[in-house]
Amino acid sequence: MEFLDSLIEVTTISTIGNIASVLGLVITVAGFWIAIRGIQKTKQAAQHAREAVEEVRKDMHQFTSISELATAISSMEEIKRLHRQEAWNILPDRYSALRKSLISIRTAYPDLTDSQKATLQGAISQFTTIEKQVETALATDKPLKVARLNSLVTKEVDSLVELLEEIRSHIGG
Amino acid sequence: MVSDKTVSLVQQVLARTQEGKLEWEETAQEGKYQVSFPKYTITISTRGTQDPDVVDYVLGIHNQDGTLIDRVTDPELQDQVDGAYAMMSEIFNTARGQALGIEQALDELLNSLSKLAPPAQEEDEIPF
Repeated sequence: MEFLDSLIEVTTISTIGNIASVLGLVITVAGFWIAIRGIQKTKQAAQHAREAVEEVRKDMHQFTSISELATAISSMEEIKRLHRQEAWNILPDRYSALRKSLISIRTAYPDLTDSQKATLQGAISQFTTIEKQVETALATDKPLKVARLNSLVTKEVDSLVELLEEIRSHIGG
Repeated sequence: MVSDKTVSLVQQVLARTQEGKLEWEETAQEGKYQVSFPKYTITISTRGTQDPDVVDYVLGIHNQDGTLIDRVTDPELQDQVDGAYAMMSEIFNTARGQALGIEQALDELLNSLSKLAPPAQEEDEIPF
Protein backbone atom coordinates (compact mmCIF):
# COMPACT_ATOMS: atom_id res chain seq x y z
CA MET A 1 0.00 0.00 0.00
CA GLU A 2 2.76 2.38 0.85
CA PHE A 3 4.40 1.39 -2.36
CA LEU A 4 1.27 2.17 -4.26
CA ASP A 5 0.94 5.54 -2.56
CA SER A 6 4.52 6.28 -3.45
CA LEU A 7 3.93 5.20 -6.98
CA ILE A 8 0.89 7.43 -7.31
CA GLU A 9 2.81 10.33 -5.77
CA VAL A 10 5.75 9.87 -8.11
CA THR A 11 3.46 9.50 -11.08
CA THR A 12 1.56 12.65 -10.14
CA ILE A 13 4.75 14.63 -9.64
CA SER A 14 6.11 13.23 -12.88
CA THR A 15 2.94 14.15 -14.72
CA ILE A 16 2.97 17.64 -13.30
CA GLY A 17 6.59 17.87 -14.32
CA ASN A 18 5.81 16.69 -17.81
CA ILE A 19 2.95 19.09 -18.12
CA ALA A 20 5.21 21.88 -16.88
CA SER A 21 7.88 20.86 -19.40
CA VAL A 22 5.39 20.84 -22.25
CA LEU A 23 4.01 24.18 -21.14
CA GLY A 24 7.53 25.50 -20.89
CA LEU A 25 8.24 24.26 -24.41
CA VAL A 26 5.08 25.83 -25.75
CA ILE A 27 5.90 29.14 -24.08
CA THR A 28 9.46 29.01 -25.42
CA VAL A 29 8.28 28.25 -28.95
CA ALA A 30 5.69 31.02 -28.70
CA GLY A 31 8.37 33.35 -27.45
CA PHE A 32 10.63 32.47 -30.36
CA TRP A 33 7.78 33.01 -32.80
CA ILE A 34 6.97 36.41 -31.32
CA ALA A 35 10.66 37.36 -31.42
CA ILE A 36 11.00 36.23 -35.04
CA ARG A 37 7.85 38.16 -36.03
CA GLY A 38 9.27 41.18 -34.26
CA ILE A 39 12.53 40.88 -36.14
CA GLN A 40 10.67 40.49 -39.45
CA LYS A 41 8.59 43.59 -38.76
CA THR A 42 11.70 45.53 -37.81
CA LYS A 43 13.37 44.36 -41.01
CA GLN A 44 10.34 45.38 -43.07
CA ALA A 45 10.24 48.77 -41.37
CA ALA A 46 13.94 49.26 -42.10
CA GLN A 47 13.36 48.26 -45.74
CA HIS A 48 10.43 50.72 -46.01
CA ALA A 49 12.58 53.43 -44.45
CA ARG A 50 15.36 52.70 -46.96
CA GLU A 51 12.88 52.86 -49.84
CA ALA A 52 11.45 56.13 -48.52
CA VAL A 53 14.94 57.61 -48.26
CA GLU A 54 15.70 56.45 -51.81
CA GLU A 55 12.48 58.10 -53.06
CA VAL A 56 13.42 61.34 -51.32
CA ARG A 57 16.93 61.12 -52.78
CA LYS A 58 15.46 60.62 -56.28
CA ASP A 59 13.04 63.51 -55.80
CA MET A 60 15.90 65.77 -54.68
CA HIS A 61 17.91 64.64 -57.68
CA GLN A 62 14.99 65.48 -59.94
CA PHE A 63 14.63 68.90 -58.28
CA THR A 64 18.31 69.54 -58.98
CA SER A 65 17.90 68.48 -62.62
CA ILE A 66 14.86 70.73 -63.00
CA SER A 67 16.84 73.62 -61.55
CA GLU A 68 19.77 72.98 -63.89
CA LEU A 69 17.47 72.61 -66.88
CA ALA A 70 15.74 75.88 -66.01
CA THR A 71 19.16 77.55 -65.88
CA ALA A 72 20.06 76.07 -69.28
CA ILE A 73 16.78 77.37 -70.74
CA SER A 74 17.55 80.85 -69.35
CA SER A 75 21.00 80.66 -70.94
CA MET A 76 19.39 79.86 -74.30
CA GLU A 77 17.07 82.88 -73.99
CA GLU A 78 20.12 85.02 -73.18
CA ILE A 79 21.88 83.60 -76.26
CA LYS A 80 18.89 84.66 -78.41
CA ARG A 81 19.18 88.21 -77.02
CA LEU A 82 22.90 88.27 -77.77
CA HIS A 83 22.15 87.03 -81.32
CA ARG A 84 19.79 89.99 -81.83
CA GLN A 85 22.49 92.30 -80.52
CA GLU A 86 24.98 90.55 -82.85
CA ALA A 87 27.39 90.17 -79.94
CA TRP A 88 29.24 87.46 -81.84
CA ASN A 89 32.54 87.86 -80.01
CA ILE A 90 31.19 86.76 -76.65
CA LEU A 91 28.80 84.10 -77.93
CA PRO A 92 31.24 81.17 -78.44
CA ASP A 93 31.95 81.14 -74.70
CA ARG A 94 28.21 81.10 -73.99
CA TYR A 95 27.65 78.19 -76.35
CA SER A 96 30.50 76.27 -74.77
CA ALA A 97 29.24 76.88 -71.22
CA LEU A 98 25.72 75.83 -72.22
CA ARG A 99 26.95 72.62 -73.84
CA LYS A 100 28.92 71.72 -70.72
CA SER A 101 25.85 72.38 -68.61
CA LEU A 102 23.72 70.07 -70.78
CA ILE A 103 26.39 67.36 -70.73
CA SER A 104 26.53 67.66 -66.95
CA ILE A 105 22.74 67.29 -66.63
CA ARG A 106 22.76 64.19 -68.79
CA THR A 107 25.59 62.63 -66.78
CA ALA A 108 24.26 63.57 -63.35
CA TYR A 109 20.75 62.25 -63.91
CA PRO A 110 21.00 58.60 -65.01
CA ASP A 111 17.23 58.01 -64.67
CA LEU A 112 16.47 59.95 -67.85
CA THR A 113 14.71 57.90 -70.53
CA ASP A 114 16.44 57.30 -73.87
CA SER A 115 14.10 59.83 -75.47
CA GLN A 116 15.02 62.46 -72.88
CA LYS A 117 18.74 61.74 -73.32
CA ALA A 118 18.27 62.10 -77.09
CA THR A 119 16.66 65.51 -76.52
CA LEU A 120 19.71 66.67 -74.57
CA GLN A 121 22.06 65.13 -77.15
CA GLY A 122 20.19 67.00 -79.90
CA ALA A 123 20.62 70.31 -78.08
CA ILE A 124 24.34 69.62 -77.48
CA SER A 125 24.89 68.87 -81.17
CA GLN A 126 22.85 71.88 -82.24
CA PHE A 127 24.91 74.30 -80.15
CA THR A 128 28.14 72.66 -81.32
CA THR A 129 27.10 73.43 -84.90
CA ILE A 130 26.00 76.97 -84.01
CA GLU A 131 29.33 77.59 -82.28
CA LYS A 132 31.22 76.40 -85.39
CA GLN A 133 29.09 78.61 -87.62
CA VAL A 134 29.75 81.68 -85.48
CA GLU A 135 33.48 80.92 -85.17
CA THR A 136 33.72 80.53 -88.97
CA ALA A 137 31.76 83.75 -89.52
CA LEU A 138 34.05 85.62 -87.11
CA ALA A 139 37.14 84.28 -88.90
CA THR A 140 35.84 85.00 -92.42
CA ASP A 141 33.75 88.07 -91.65
CA LYS A 142 30.73 86.29 -93.12
CA PRO A 143 27.29 87.56 -92.08
CA LEU A 144 25.07 85.34 -89.95
CA LYS A 145 21.31 84.93 -90.17
CA VAL A 146 20.01 85.91 -86.74
CA ALA A 147 16.41 84.90 -87.44
CA ARG A 148 17.44 81.42 -88.52
CA LEU A 149 19.74 80.91 -85.54
CA ASN A 150 17.09 82.10 -83.11
CA SER A 151 14.48 79.87 -84.73
CA LEU A 152 16.75 76.87 -84.06
CA VAL A 153 17.46 77.99 -80.49
CA THR A 154 13.71 78.42 -79.89
CA LYS A 155 13.13 74.81 -80.97
CA GLU A 156 15.71 73.63 -78.47
CA VAL A 157 14.13 75.80 -75.75
CA ASP A 158 10.75 74.21 -76.48
CA SER A 159 12.27 70.71 -76.31
CA LEU A 160 13.94 71.41 -72.99
CA VAL A 161 10.78 72.96 -71.52
CA GLU A 162 8.94 69.77 -72.45
CA LEU A 163 11.69 67.70 -70.84
CA LEU A 164 11.54 69.81 -67.70
CA GLU A 165 7.77 69.29 -67.43
CA GLU A 166 8.19 65.53 -67.89
CA ILE A 167 10.70 65.38 -65.04
CA ARG A 168 8.57 67.65 -62.84
CA SER A 169 5.53 65.42 -63.34
CA HIS A 170 7.48 62.43 -61.99
CA ILE A 171 8.45 64.05 -58.70
CA GLY A 172 6.78 62.40 -55.74
CA GLY A 173 5.38 59.59 -57.84
CA MET B 1 37.78 51.04 -97.07
CA VAL B 2 34.55 51.46 -95.13
CA SER B 3 33.87 48.93 -92.39
CA ASP B 4 30.94 46.51 -92.59
CA LYS B 5 29.48 48.12 -89.48
CA THR B 6 29.44 51.52 -91.15
CA VAL B 7 27.79 50.06 -94.24
CA SER B 8 25.18 48.43 -92.04
CA LEU B 9 24.67 51.70 -90.18
CA VAL B 10 23.99 53.61 -93.40
CA GLN B 11 21.53 50.93 -94.54
CA GLN B 12 19.73 51.02 -91.20
CA VAL B 13 19.57 54.83 -91.25
CA LEU B 14 18.01 54.66 -94.70
CA ALA B 15 15.45 52.05 -93.67
CA ARG B 16 14.42 53.84 -90.46
CA THR B 17 14.25 57.20 -92.27
CA GLN B 18 11.97 55.77 -94.96
CA GLU B 19 9.77 54.27 -92.23
CA GLY B 20 9.47 57.72 -90.63
CA LYS B 21 10.94 56.48 -87.37
CA LEU B 22 13.75 59.03 -87.16
CA GLU B 23 13.11 62.63 -86.14
CA TRP B 24 15.38 64.60 -88.43
CA GLU B 25 15.80 68.30 -87.68
CA GLU B 26 17.51 71.29 -89.26
CA THR B 27 20.84 72.51 -87.98
CA ALA B 28 22.53 75.91 -88.01
CA GLN B 29 24.43 74.82 -91.12
CA GLU B 30 22.08 75.13 -94.07
CA GLY B 31 21.65 71.87 -95.91
CA LYS B 32 22.73 69.81 -92.89
CA TYR B 33 20.23 67.77 -90.89
CA GLN B 34 20.61 65.81 -87.70
CA VAL B 35 18.91 63.05 -85.76
CA SER B 36 19.87 62.39 -82.17
CA PHE B 37 20.12 59.27 -80.03
CA PRO B 38 20.88 59.00 -76.31
CA LYS B 39 24.64 59.24 -76.77
CA TYR B 40 25.27 60.11 -80.44
CA THR B 41 24.00 62.28 -83.24
CA ILE B 42 23.92 61.40 -86.94
CA THR B 43 24.08 64.17 -89.51
CA ILE B 44 23.53 64.15 -93.28
CA SER B 45 24.75 66.91 -95.56
CA THR B 46 26.22 67.58 -98.97
CA ARG B 47 29.57 68.88 -100.13
CA GLY B 48 30.59 70.25 -103.50
CA THR B 49 32.72 68.40 -106.01
CA GLN B 50 34.80 69.49 -108.98
CA ASP B 51 31.68 69.14 -111.10
CA PRO B 52 29.36 72.00 -110.07
CA ASP B 53 26.32 69.90 -110.97
CA VAL B 54 27.30 67.04 -108.70
CA VAL B 55 27.43 66.84 -104.92
CA ASP B 56 28.74 64.21 -102.53
CA TYR B 57 26.57 63.15 -99.61
CA VAL B 58 28.21 63.02 -96.21
CA LEU B 59 26.89 61.08 -93.22
CA GLY B 60 28.54 62.07 -89.93
CA ILE B 61 28.56 60.54 -86.45
CA HIS B 62 28.96 62.88 -83.47
CA ASN B 63 29.70 61.84 -79.89
CA GLN B 64 28.26 63.03 -76.57
CA ASP B 65 30.25 66.27 -76.72
CA GLY B 66 29.00 67.02 -80.23
CA THR B 67 32.42 66.24 -81.72
CA LEU B 68 32.51 64.58 -85.15
CA ILE B 69 34.06 61.14 -84.62
CA ASP B 70 33.44 59.49 -87.99
CA ARG B 71 31.96 60.21 -91.36
CA VAL B 72 31.32 58.44 -94.63
CA THR B 73 30.61 59.75 -98.11
CA ASP B 74 28.85 58.07 -101.02
CA PRO B 75 32.06 57.78 -103.10
CA GLU B 76 33.64 55.89 -100.17
CA LEU B 77 30.67 53.52 -100.03
CA GLN B 78 30.53 52.84 -103.76
CA ASP B 79 33.06 49.99 -103.71
CA GLN B 80 31.01 48.03 -101.20
CA VAL B 81 27.46 49.08 -101.81
CA ASP B 82 25.62 49.14 -105.13
CA GLY B 83 23.66 52.33 -105.50
CA ALA B 84 25.50 54.12 -102.69
CA TYR B 85 24.81 57.50 -104.24
CA ALA B 86 21.09 56.81 -104.56
CA MET B 87 20.99 55.50 -100.97
CA MET B 88 22.66 58.56 -99.46
CA SER B 89 20.63 60.87 -101.69
CA GLU B 90 17.44 59.21 -100.45
CA ILE B 91 18.53 59.68 -96.82
CA PHE B 92 19.33 63.33 -97.46
CA ASN B 93 16.13 64.16 -99.35
CA THR B 94 13.86 62.31 -96.93
CA ALA B 95 15.63 63.84 -93.91
CA ARG B 96 15.30 67.28 -95.48
CA GLY B 97 11.62 66.74 -96.18
CA GLN B 98 10.94 65.69 -92.61
CA ALA B 99 13.08 68.42 -91.04
CA LEU B 100 11.43 71.14 -93.08
CA GLY B 101 7.97 69.66 -92.67
CA ILE B 102 7.55 69.33 -96.44
CA GLU B 103 5.58 66.10 -96.30
CA GLN B 104 3.21 67.48 -93.68
CA ALA B 105 2.78 70.69 -95.69
CA LEU B 106 1.98 68.71 -98.84
CA ASP B 107 -0.53 66.51 -97.01
CA GLU B 108 -2.34 69.47 -95.50
CA LEU B 109 -2.37 71.40 -98.76
CA LEU B 110 -3.69 68.40 -100.67
CA ASN B 111 -6.38 67.98 -98.02
CA SER B 112 -7.38 71.65 -98.28
CA LEU B 113 -7.39 71.60 -102.07
CA SER B 114 -9.47 68.46 -102.23
CA LYS B 115 -12.12 70.16 -100.08
CA LEU B 116 -12.25 73.05 -102.56
CA ALA B 117 -12.67 70.77 -105.58
CA PRO B 118 -16.20 70.75 -107.10
CA PRO B 119 -18.25 67.67 -106.26
CA ALA B 120 -17.97 64.99 -108.93
CA GLN B 121 -21.08 64.80 -111.19
CA GLU B 122 -22.93 61.49 -111.27
CA GLU B 123 -22.60 59.79 -114.67
CA ASP B 124 -26.34 59.42 -115.23
CA GLU B 125 -27.17 62.96 -114.04
CA ILE B 126 -29.07 64.84 -116.68
CA PRO B 127 -27.63 68.38 -116.97
CA PHE B 128 -30.88 69.93 -118.17
